[in-house]
Amino acid sequence: MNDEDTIKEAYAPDHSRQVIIADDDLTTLRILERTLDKAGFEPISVSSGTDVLENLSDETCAVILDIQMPGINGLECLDYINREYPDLAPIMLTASDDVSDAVYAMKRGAFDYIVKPFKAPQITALVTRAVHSFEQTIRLREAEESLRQARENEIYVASRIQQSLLLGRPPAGFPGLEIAHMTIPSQEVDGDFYDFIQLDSRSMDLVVADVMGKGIRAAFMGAALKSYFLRVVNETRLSSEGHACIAPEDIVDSVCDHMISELQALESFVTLFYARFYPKRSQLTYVDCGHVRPLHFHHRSNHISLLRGENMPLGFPEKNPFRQFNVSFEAKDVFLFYSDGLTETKSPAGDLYGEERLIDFLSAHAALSMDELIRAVKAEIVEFFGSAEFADDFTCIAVKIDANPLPLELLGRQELCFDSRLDELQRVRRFIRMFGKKYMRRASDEPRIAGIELAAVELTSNIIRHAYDNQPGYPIRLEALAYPQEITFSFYNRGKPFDPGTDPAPELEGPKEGGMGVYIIEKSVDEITYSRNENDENCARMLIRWC
Amino acid sequence: MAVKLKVKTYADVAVVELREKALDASNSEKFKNSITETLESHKKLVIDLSRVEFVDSSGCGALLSCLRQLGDREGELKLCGVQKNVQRLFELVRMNRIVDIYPTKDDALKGFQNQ
Repeated sequence: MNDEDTIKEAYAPDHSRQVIIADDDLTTLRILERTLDKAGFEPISVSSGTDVLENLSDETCAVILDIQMPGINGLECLDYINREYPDLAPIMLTASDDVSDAVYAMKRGAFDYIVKPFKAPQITALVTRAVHSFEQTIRLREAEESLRQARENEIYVASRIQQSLLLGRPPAGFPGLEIAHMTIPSQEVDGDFYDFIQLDSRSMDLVVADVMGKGIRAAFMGAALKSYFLRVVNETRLSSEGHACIAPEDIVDSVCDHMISELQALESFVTLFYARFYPKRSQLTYVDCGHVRPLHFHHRSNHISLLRGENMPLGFPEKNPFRQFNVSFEAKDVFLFYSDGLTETKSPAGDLYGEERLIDFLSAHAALSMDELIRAVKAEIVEFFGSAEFADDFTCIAVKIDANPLPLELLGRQELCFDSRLDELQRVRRFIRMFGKKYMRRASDEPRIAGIELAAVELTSNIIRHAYDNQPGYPIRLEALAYPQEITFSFYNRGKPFDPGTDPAPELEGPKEGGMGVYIIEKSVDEITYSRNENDENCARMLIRWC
Repeated sequence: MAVKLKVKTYADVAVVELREKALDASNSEKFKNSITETLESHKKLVIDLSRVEFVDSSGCGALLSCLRQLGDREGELKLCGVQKNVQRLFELVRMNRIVDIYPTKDDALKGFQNQ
């Protein structure tokens, strides 16, 4: 078996592999033609550069070019081929005295060169390699093309997931709130998502989250996260009697428990902000997990505060119990929730848009309707960025408190004024128990009343200790209000404001009393809010839902 | 006004009955002072809470301080007669995991005997 047969067998060529042979020396041309024909190629013999250009087509798999040809020479053909058929790399034929031309040709993209005179097997082997290489290049190009299409497709799929699954709509016409929302999709898809959840007629929940990463993975993670939220929420709906008895911190905690192993396996994490609006009570309860801080525009004082939390993003290894906070709001206040894509937008000069600019912007535009505000934010960011094609998605949700939220029907009100002395605790307890029993009459309410009593004692001793430094002789006013579904006890004092945010849950080994008190309060009532009212009184308000 | 305590001794175990309706911020310091003598003269102590209807975090703190003082001298504290609402608080702050709680004084005494 000779070399030619070996190659033929190994290669098993068919006659569709067209090879153009160009040489003005007819003898050489005939030899090449015969050799390639025998090797199973489909040779096309031409004797000038012009003929080469005429015969080139998408069928051409290889080209053999004599460098010295009249008219358009081999090097000029090479340049043309490079330009018009970049996948083809011609083999150059050269006489022994112009090797320098051959080297030059190699530098310009020739596949290889052969010095005349040559042997048939040498030619066959080289052409076979050239055809291989050509076909590989084609396959590679096709693979790249389908990869590019797949990527485009992925972006398409991910953005569909985001648009249809991740971005929610607010409940139509929720009384007391005016809501507008938008997402500007970017070139790539983020794991931004938001949703509105209405657990009962008195509150509306909003969750805004950002999954680290982009594309399908982030979109799916977002979808999974959202479905966990809905699951937790639906389980709550089934188990309670139509009231949002599950606190935001418990919702987030439960979702985190479900998601943590997935998030850690994917080395991903999620920042999120969970907000619950109580329009009638003028209160917002929130849990923040490392999300960008929403803005709260206070209409009356015309200033902006940031809603800060202290929890780490979901998926971080250290997991402390999630903590929620409360803020009060008033008519015409505006809340602006957004994703980091907004504040991390960069100007052409490389400056970040940043929180400060957003604060200034909101201050100047808080009087707009929420739809107008959202549009103005978009226009502002587009102008800052210098284009409407963003690299990051950004999400923005604006909520304005209506001027006249419908008041709750008041069922009963009672007040107790007492002195800042610890031996008043018993009176406080008796007052709480009496008021509570009036409305919570079922036997099963007893433990709850006991819990409220306990929380009231803790709260009162904290006020006496911290607000009044254990000094007797100062007044504390306790106001109890009963509504159809909830009872509030508000403790007013004029001492030092109290910040409960720093007290940790008690440790098993030797709890500190102060921290334990705050912990007990939080666990014994549905909500506890600390604020300062317009009369400069500190107010600590406990809320109990009697559902 | 001191806190009312009734102390009885059974062999080497002192049983302290707290004759108050509440153990809270208003009397927990007084309680700590009143019980010091008994704490120092005994290693085994039962605090009988059957008359106590209300305990707050200060009350818990006072009981834990007894537990610590006894622990420092390798002594032991047991509680008995804990009412429902008080029990709930103990569970909330996880006191029930670090102190043995018995239904009655006799159960607590038996608990010491069996050791």
